[in-house]
Amino acid sequence: MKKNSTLLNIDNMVKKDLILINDHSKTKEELFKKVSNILMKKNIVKESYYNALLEREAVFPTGINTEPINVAIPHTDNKHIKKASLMVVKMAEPITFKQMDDPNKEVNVEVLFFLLIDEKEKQSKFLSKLIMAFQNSDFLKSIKKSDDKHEILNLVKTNLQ
Amino acid sequence: MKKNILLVCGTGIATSTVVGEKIKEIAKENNFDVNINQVKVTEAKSHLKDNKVDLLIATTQLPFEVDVPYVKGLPFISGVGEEEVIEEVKNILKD
Repeated sequence: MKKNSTLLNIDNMVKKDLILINDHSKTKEELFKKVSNILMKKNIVKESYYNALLEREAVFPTGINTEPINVAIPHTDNKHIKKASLMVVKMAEPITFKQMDDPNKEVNVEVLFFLLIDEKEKQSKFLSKLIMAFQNSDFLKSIKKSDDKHEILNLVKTNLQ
Repeated sequence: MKKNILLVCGTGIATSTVVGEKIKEIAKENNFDVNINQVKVTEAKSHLKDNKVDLLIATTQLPFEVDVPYVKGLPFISGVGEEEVIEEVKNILKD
């Protein structure tokens, strides 16, 4: 039973309208604002999400060196989240993030996964699968290459099954 | 003997959860008896004060010195250097 509900979750969590491609934001603030506005309109996050996300990123950055294509996984406390989801953003130009394990180092990020987690127990398998997919460099390369939201959606879903 | 593992990340919800899944796998494969706790980095110090911890794994930088066995958690997330940290974890847990 549990397995089934995990599978159902993926379709509920990852949707075409939560994929941004070739975004031109120049700064984290600009990108976070854009993402927060989209998520707020869809009733996925609370108003407090933007500030919480920005604050968390400043103290505990989420850039990860997954060369050749680096990622970031911005996320914040679950109290700011209304509905578990995943937002995927592919940048037009890399954006600079600080590295999670060493905030003194910077990393140029091309693909971002905004983790919108409401209950960690429910989404642990989902998170693990997503993050394990980063270790498959074809996954990130294919996302980078694609200019089609539908294709990116399918790539993400396939890697989460 | 059961080993207490403390997983630490910025929110105590995302990357520590992923590391936890991997530690569970390692424990299962090697028949290690483990008890896993997850905390935010801001709660780590008080958890260490009040609880016995045999292994600490953090995906963020720790803002304090630790006197328990410590392994970096980011390799479990990025995949870079993962085999080395798996070996470190096994060595700490096998005793």
